[in-house]
Amino acid sequence: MNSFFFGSSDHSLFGVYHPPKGRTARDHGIVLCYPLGQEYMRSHRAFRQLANLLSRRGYHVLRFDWYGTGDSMGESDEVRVAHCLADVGTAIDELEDNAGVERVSLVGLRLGATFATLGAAGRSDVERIVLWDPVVSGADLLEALLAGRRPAEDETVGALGFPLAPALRSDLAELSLGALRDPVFERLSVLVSAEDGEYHALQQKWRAGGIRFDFECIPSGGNWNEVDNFGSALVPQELIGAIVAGFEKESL
Amino acid sequence: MTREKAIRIGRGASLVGILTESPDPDASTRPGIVLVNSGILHRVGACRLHVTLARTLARDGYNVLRFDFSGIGDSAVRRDDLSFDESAVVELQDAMNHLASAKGHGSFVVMGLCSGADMALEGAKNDARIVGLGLFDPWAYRTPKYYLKHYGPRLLEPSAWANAARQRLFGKTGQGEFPSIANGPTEDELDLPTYVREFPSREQAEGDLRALIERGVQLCCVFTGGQGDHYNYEGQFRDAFRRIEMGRNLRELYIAEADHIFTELDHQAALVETMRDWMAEHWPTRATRAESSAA
Repeated sequence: MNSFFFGSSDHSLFGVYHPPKGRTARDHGIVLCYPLGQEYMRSHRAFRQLANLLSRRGYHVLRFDWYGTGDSMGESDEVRVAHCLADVGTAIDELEDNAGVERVSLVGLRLGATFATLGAAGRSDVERIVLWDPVVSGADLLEALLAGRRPAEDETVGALGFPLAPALRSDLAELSLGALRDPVFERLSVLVSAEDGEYHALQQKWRAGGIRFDFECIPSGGNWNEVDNFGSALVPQELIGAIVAGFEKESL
Repeated sequence: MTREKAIRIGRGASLVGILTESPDPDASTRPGIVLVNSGILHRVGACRLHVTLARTLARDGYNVLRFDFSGIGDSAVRRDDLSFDESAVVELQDAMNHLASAKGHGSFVVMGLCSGADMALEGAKNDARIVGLGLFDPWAYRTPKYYLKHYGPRLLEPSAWANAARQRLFGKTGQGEFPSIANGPTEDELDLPTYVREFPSREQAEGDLRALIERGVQLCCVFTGGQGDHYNYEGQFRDAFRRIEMGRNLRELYIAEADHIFTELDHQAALVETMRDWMAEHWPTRATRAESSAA
């Protein structure tokens, strides 16, 4: 496992690369995309485990922090959706260059899934995207994070320990997975831990738009978007196992 | 401009850390700062607070290293038989050794929240290079004033008497442990270290604290309302150890409205400003002197 910074000097991103181990390396890299805010804190452990499991099965894995999150450059109130969408491409390029792979897939959790899908939609080198409990509507997430508050236009408010700056709020209000058009990647897999009305609506929209995808619900307890007094982690084993099994099955 | 480097430290370079280098060329003449994990939260700290602290303090003129203990965050698991509190001291020393060899530091300030505060204290007991401790919700001991504040307003409520009787019957043990992983695997599968937080006896704590104060270690203790079961007024820490003359070696702050992991932005800012001010008081830099002159 190597930890390092990549990207440009004024937009440096932190990444952890897990090389393949234990068996022949595959010509296939997987980029893992974290959620934002407290969901990032709660999922870090799960991502470490997912990366380890995938690397043990021969994949090159890169997990990275968005600009303004984790160890990456930028302050927490500087997070912007446009940056995140661009960061997806930067991370794919980094993995392709460093690992020498030509096939890349992405796994994203919550907003990470949304960014991965919209950020990579035009790339022909992306084979598959796994959307894990994706955020379908940024506006709905924003409403949940604001929990009834109506901040002034120029006011930065906190949401579960992280700043929601005005610019990010207006970005999220416009963000929608339903906006996906003509993706060129081969396969889109949606994996959720609970059935939800918004997932039904998304499926209908994508079907109507001719977008091919598969959908699976693996019931699993726990809520990403919450915080307790100690900063507990959430590591849903069944879902992690299903993601790994999905890649294994595909490669047979 | 500050610069950040991803580094590997410790035996077999198995521990992952981020070194935030100060642009101040004299930074190595001051203590290097080490930020340690709280519970299973990785090196960015609760609500990314360690990143903010590291960058702010580096701009002020200090080099800062934040890293993951073995088995936490991105650091590999140890395969020896050291307990967590033993390995944490060894690994804290690995971090200080790195700052000493890479940046030339001869002394250190260690900061941490909750179990991180416990490990910072353990480190200071074992390593005389530690000259300062920034402790967020460290161990606390109840005083008569604590009980007065706790029970005073409720003495006339029958339910308060019933609860007190119940607690006396069943007692209380420990002060918490590493937070749980919901819906998760066993610790073996995850290779997580185990740590049950138990405050040392008051006698033991007093002895340790006395030794640190006599050595000249500076302490900055910040308490939150999240630890209200053990602490409920500013000055309680000093009162609990009144037999030790701590004078200006202790700065104590209570943010009653804050929760244990500082989820409110205002409380995060208050913590960062407190640490800046405390560092500037004891180890002033060009930047902090200029700021205080301007003020």
